[in-house]
Amino acid sequence: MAHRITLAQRAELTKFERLLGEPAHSLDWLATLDAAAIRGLRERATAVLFDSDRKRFQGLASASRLLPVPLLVKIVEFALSPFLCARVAGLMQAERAIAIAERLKTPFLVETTIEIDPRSADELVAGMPVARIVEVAVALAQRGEYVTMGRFLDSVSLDAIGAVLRAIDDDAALLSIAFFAENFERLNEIVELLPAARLQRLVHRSATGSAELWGEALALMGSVHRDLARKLAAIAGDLDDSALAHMLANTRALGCWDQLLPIVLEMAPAQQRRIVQMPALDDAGTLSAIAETAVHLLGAEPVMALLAQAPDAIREQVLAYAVQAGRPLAAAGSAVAPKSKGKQSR
Amino acid sequence: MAGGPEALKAELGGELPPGLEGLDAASQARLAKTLRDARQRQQKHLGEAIDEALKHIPALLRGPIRRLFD
Repeated sequence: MAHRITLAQRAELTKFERLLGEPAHSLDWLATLDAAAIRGLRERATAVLFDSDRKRFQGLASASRLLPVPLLVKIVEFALSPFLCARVAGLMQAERAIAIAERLKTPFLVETTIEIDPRSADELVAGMPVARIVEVAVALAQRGEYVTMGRFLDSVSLDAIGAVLRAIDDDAALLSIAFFAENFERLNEIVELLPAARLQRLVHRSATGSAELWGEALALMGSVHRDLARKLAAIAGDLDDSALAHMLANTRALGCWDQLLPIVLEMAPAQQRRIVQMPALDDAGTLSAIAETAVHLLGAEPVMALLAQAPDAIREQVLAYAVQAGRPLAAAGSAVAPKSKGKQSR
Repeated sequence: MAGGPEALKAELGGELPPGLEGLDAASQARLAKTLRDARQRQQKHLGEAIDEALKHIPALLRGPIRRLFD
């Protein structure tokens, strides 16, 4: 059976493909490794690729100290490609590199940002004026450079991130950038910056968009602290029936019940009831997948709380699966047994 | 495929990072080749970028500036 690539693996594989210049999905065969191992591999490969030619650029970086910044900017834009500029910038004193970056034409700076060594970018990016960061971020977002942007979330101040969030109206872009974040702790701080109306829009956009976008939203909800996850879950639980149906269809397409069910468990009981009674869940394949996830991942008590609100078909399937899996579901003194009479009304 | 763990270690500059021990020999060889190809593409791109940059430099200065890249 083909190994399903998890959302975390997908993010790491995409970042690795970008580093190596490989086409999308060309490294899916590495999915026998977990996400942490793929990340470790990418970090090692980054060091090899950027350090192998370090000496070649050190000479130029040192020589650049002899020239005034305005002249250096002219030479850089005239003679060097962004690729070469990025290599040299990574070896310069941060203050000098920032002074040059402030004067470079925006398209050139954008290309250089894509090529820069992520290990030396922190100090450069942290020292850039907010307005410049916003300019570059908007251009990167327009180009779909979400891997690059995700890489810099740790380096950019929250003030700058707030300014970027106000400048980028595209919710799908924000989700994609978050998907490629290097540090999930940072995502908590960033989500907290978003006003309630924007969060609602984000959740609605992701639930009603492509399966890929919904996957990115699920990854975000699975990465933040519990309070935030609960907040996002509540927003998802308030979606209208059409949006909920689309969300469930996307979850089925991704096979990500292990990501969605913990979110459903964070919802209010009334919201949970709506979801478990959605017609979108009423097919054998979907119920098997949900049952498998529920039994192996969630534990008896939360599963039974959900089952108590579910139609007979769903409850019967999950209970039967649990028995087959050797993990019959029954809390002490309150077993949830299959109903023998009629269906629950929806 | 030629290669295996030693080829992969060579491409990664040392001992394998954690988690890669589980990769089978064919995957290790494939990964070594993928990394080698990426490194060689980068070298080629770098050489072309330097040559292109030098075209913009006055001929008298090209030699000294090329030496900065060596």
